[in-house]
Amino acid sequence: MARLDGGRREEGRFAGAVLAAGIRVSALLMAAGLLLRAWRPQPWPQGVPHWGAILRSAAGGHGEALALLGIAVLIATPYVRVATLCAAFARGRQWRLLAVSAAVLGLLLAGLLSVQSS
Amino acid sequence: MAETILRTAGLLAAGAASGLVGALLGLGGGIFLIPALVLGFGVPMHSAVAAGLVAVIATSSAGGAQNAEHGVANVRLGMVLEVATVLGALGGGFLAQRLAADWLGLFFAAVLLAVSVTLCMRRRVREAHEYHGSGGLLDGRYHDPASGREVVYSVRRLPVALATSLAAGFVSALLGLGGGILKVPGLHLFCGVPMKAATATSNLMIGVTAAASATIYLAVGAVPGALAATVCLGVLAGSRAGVRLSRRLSERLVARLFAVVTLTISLFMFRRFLHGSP
Repeated sequence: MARLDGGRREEGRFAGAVLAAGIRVSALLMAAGLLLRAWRPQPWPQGVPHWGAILRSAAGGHGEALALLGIAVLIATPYVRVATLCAAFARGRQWRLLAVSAAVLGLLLAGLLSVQSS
Repeated sequence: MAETILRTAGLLAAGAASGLVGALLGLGGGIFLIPALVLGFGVPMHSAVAAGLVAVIATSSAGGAQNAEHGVANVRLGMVLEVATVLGALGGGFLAQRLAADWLGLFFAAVLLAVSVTLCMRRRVREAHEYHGSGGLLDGRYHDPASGREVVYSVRRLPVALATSLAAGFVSALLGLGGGILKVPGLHLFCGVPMKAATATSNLMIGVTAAASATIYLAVGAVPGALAATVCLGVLAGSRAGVRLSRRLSERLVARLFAVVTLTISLFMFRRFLHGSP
């Protein structure tokens, strides 16, 4: 039981650290984007986003692009959390939980691929 | 200019309030945010749903960071149930683009009413010391500051939890919610999970559910960037406060708050969407 508890604590710590890092980065990008947007408003095209253009615009200090980038980081955070837990389960030799978390990650990635192809 | 500042402050406050209540009750926040955006700020339903999904991820991540570290969120149970939830969310996400906004709102109100009635009909809520573990793979253990006790519990009826999570994922994608309105009562009423652990585990899971759906909205350019970012900054602050508050409240109070809040919102949304009154 003690070993199991130790494993649970470690898994919780990993998950917590990934989530905390994700929200810090995304909050920083969103706050910077909103401030730049208010200070120096620039036109922004509507419709389907092209991520190459968004990254270039964000690097050039475009507020809307930075805000969108922050949202993208926030959306990616749970994906990274699941991937991190896969690693934690593998490290703790929790094979059944590793299979389950790998299935979740697989489903998420399948969803991503289907969005890209449609 | 003054109007823009007021609107921004209002969106931040709405985000903070929904983050606080969402993290406290494991609901994600979309359940409160979408009505606020539609009714209070005149945001179209589909944009509000997209912003709500992103806000759910913010609530989940901010709350989950603390709850996972303290062990209140059952990381293992959450991961098992996420398989069913993500399947439901992916199906609902594709269907959402083909449904009319009015029907989304009506469905939203009906789901809330069903959940609140179920919780209101329940007379007795178990307190922290009444739970026991059995040494299973999905058992949970955490310290409850409100009762000053170590809470150990076992998860019962896993198939019911999986079915509830599948439905929750579907509802989440359709309505921009985290699906916690189904998962929390499902885990607590049928699977023997203490209310606080149910809310914390639901809070952790809804980030994955919402991420699966939000990715679809983001890919088709349906996420309103500035609006969602403003709301999310408020949500991040509010949800951290919500988790801290949750640790100090009793099981009974969290359950009662959950029932009252969902019933109120359900009646409000029924009035708005069935009779067209604000």
